[in-house]
Amino acid sequence: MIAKDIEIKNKLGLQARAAAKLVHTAARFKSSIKIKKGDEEVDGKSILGILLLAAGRGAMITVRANGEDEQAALEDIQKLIDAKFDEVE
Amino acid sequence: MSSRLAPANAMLTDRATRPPVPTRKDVRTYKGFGVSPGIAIGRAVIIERREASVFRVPIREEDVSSEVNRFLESLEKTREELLELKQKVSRSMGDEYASIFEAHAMIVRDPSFTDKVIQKIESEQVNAEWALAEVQEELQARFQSFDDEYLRERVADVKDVADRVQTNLQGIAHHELSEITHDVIILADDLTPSDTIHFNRRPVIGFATEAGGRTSHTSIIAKSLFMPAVIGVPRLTKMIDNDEMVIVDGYEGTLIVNPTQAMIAEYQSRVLRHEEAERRLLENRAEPAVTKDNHRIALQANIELVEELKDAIRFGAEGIGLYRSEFLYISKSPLLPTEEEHFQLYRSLAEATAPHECVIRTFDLGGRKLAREVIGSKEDNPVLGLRGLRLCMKHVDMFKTQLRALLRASVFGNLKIMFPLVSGVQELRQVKTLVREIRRELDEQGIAHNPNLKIGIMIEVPSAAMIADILAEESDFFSIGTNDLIQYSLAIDRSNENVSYLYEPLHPALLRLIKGVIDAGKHAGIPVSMCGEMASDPLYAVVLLGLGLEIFSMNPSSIPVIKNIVRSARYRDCRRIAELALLKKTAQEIEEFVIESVATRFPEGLISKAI
Repeated sequence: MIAKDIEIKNKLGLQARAAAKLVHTAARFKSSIKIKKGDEEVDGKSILGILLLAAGRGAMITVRANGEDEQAALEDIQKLIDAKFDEVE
Repeated sequence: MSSRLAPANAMLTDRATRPPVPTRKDVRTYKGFGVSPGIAIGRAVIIERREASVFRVPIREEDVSSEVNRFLESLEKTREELLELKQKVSRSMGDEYASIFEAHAMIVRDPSFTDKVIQKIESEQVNAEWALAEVQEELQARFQSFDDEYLRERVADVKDVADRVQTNLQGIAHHELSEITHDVIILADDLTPSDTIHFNRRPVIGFATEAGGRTSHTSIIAKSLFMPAVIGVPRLTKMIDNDEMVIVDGYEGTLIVNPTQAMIAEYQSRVLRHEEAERRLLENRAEPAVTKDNHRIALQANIELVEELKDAIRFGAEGIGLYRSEFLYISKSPLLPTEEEHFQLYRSLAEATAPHECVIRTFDLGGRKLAREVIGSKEDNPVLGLRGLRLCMKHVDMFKTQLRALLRASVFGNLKIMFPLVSGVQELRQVKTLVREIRRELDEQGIAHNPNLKIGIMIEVPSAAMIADILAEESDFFSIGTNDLIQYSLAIDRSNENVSYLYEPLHPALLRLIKGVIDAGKHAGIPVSMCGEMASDPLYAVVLLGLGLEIFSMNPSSIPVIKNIVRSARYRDCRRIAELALLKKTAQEIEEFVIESVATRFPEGLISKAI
C-alpha cells in the first residue's frame, strides 16, 4: 500500500467533470484507490463519493492505492490532478 | 419535492393517476399581455418544472423485487439518454462541454447512489419514486453543508441526475428540443433568463408564460431576440397540450390554440402587413430625431447580445445607451469570463458603435435566479438584496476583472461605463476609488487606458433619485432605469401578476422623481438619459420629452416609432403637457389628460398603439 498527499489546484475543485476524470483514471487500475480529505475517506472509483468530499481549490487530499499496479495508479492520478484536470480556466 | 403529504387514497404518483388529457380539437383563445411584438405560428412544447410531487406508496413484500427492477430499468434508460446526449452535445459544442453528461452518467451507475435507493425500497418496502426522492434529499442536504460555495452549488448535478431518473420512473419522456424539426412555441409557467438563452434559436420561434410582468426578464429577452411573446396567461400549461398548434400574437397579447386554416392564413397576412408597416417606419431611419421647433433628441439602443448591434444600426440608433454585460457571465457559467474575453467584447462593441457612445453597464445579475447560478448566493428577498453595484463590490475580484477590461477597452471608440443600483454617494465614491486603483495598476504596467473615461450611474433606486443633485456632483452622467425605479418606489413586484396592474409609470410620484433627476442633471451640466422601458412607450415619450429628457435608450425596434413622435411634436407643447400632468393627482388622471392632449396635437393614428 502506498499513499500520497496531493493538493487540488484547479479553479473549480473536485466538481463533476474533474471527479469523472478522476474516476476514469482510477478505474483503469486493478488496485483499490481510496481518497481521503480530513476525516472522510471515500472510494476513488465512486464519483459521488468524490463529489461528497467537497474538495475545493487548495484542499489537501490523501490518495491511497493498494494492489499490484498501485505505483502506476498513484502516478497517473497525481499527473491528472497536477494538470488541473485539463480544465479550461 | 417539498410536499409529500399524500391524500389518504393515493396509491400511485399523482402523475400516474391523472387520466390522459383528451386531445381538444376546438379553437381556443387565451388572453395575456403581449410583451414582445410579432406573430409566431408553431407547435406547443410545454416546459414543466420537473418537481412533480412524489407520494409514499407501501408495496407488498412479493413486489419488492419487481420494484427494484423497475428502478434498475429507469437507471439504464437514464444512462442511455445521458450518453446519447453527450454524443450529440459533443458534436455541436465540443467534448469539454459534453463531459458533464458523462459525469452524470457515472453518477447513475455509482453504487453509493443506487445501492442506497435499492436498500430503501427493500428495507422500507416502499415505491422506487419515494426511495429515490428520500436518497436525493439526503444527498442534497450533504452538498448544502459544504463550505466551498461553488461545490455547494454542484448539488445541481445530483438534482439533475435524480430528476431524470425520477422522470423515467414516472414514465414521462423528456423533450430534447434539438430533436424537433418543426417550429416550436415554448409554453411554461415561468422562464428564467438562462432558460430563455437556451431557447434563442430554431426550432423555437415564440414564447408564452403563466407568470411574468411586462418588464420581466422573459419579456426583455424575448424582445431582444425579436421573438413574439405573451405572458401572464393563467393556467396556460394546464389548458394546452404538447404538440397542439398555437399562434402567439405578441401585438394583441393573445394565444390561439388549434386555429383553423383560415385563421392561420389571416395571421400570415397580418405578418406581411406588419412587415410593410415596419418598412414604412424605417423610412425615417436617416432623419434626425428633432422636434418641429428644433429641439434635438438622441435615440439610442439597449442591447444585451452582440448580435443585436446590427438591429440597433438598422433601426437608426445613435449609440448604445445600455449594454447589459450580464450575458457574458451567463454564457460562460460556471466559469467566469476572462479579462481578455471581456476586453475583446467591449472593444468590438465600442468600435462598432463609434463615433456614437457605447455605455456598458457593469454586471447586474439581478434579483432572482441569475445570482444563484453565477454567484451562488441565496436570499429571501433578492430584489432587495445583493444585486447591482452591491454585488459587484462584494465580489470585488470578479468586478476588477471587468473594470480592467473596460478601462483597457476605453481607448477604442467612445466607451462609457455605468454602475447599476447605486443608492447613495458613499457607494459611488467606493467604486471610483476602485477605478482609480485599477488605473494606477494599468499605468504601472504600461497598459493604455483613456484618462477621461466617463463614469456614470443608473438612477433606479428612489434614494438615488431623491439625492440626484448630490450624486450629480460626482457622476459624469445619469441613466434613469425606470423598471426598477417604478418597482421600488411603488412597491410593486414587477413579475407578480396579482399586483402588476399597479405598475403605473405615470404615477405622480414617478413623474416627480424623474423630473427631479432631469433637473439635477441639467443644473450640474451632465447628460441624463433613460434606459427603462418607459422611454420606448409613445405616450410616455411625450411626457418625458416635456420633462426635458434628451437621451432616450430603448429596444432597437422601438426607435422608429419614438422618432416619429419626436419629429411630429413641438417641444413647447410637450413642456406644457408635462407641466399640467404634474398638477394631476392620480396616474389615471394623468394618463387621461395626456391621451387627450396628444389626440389634439398629433396626427391621427400616430400614438394609437399606445392608447
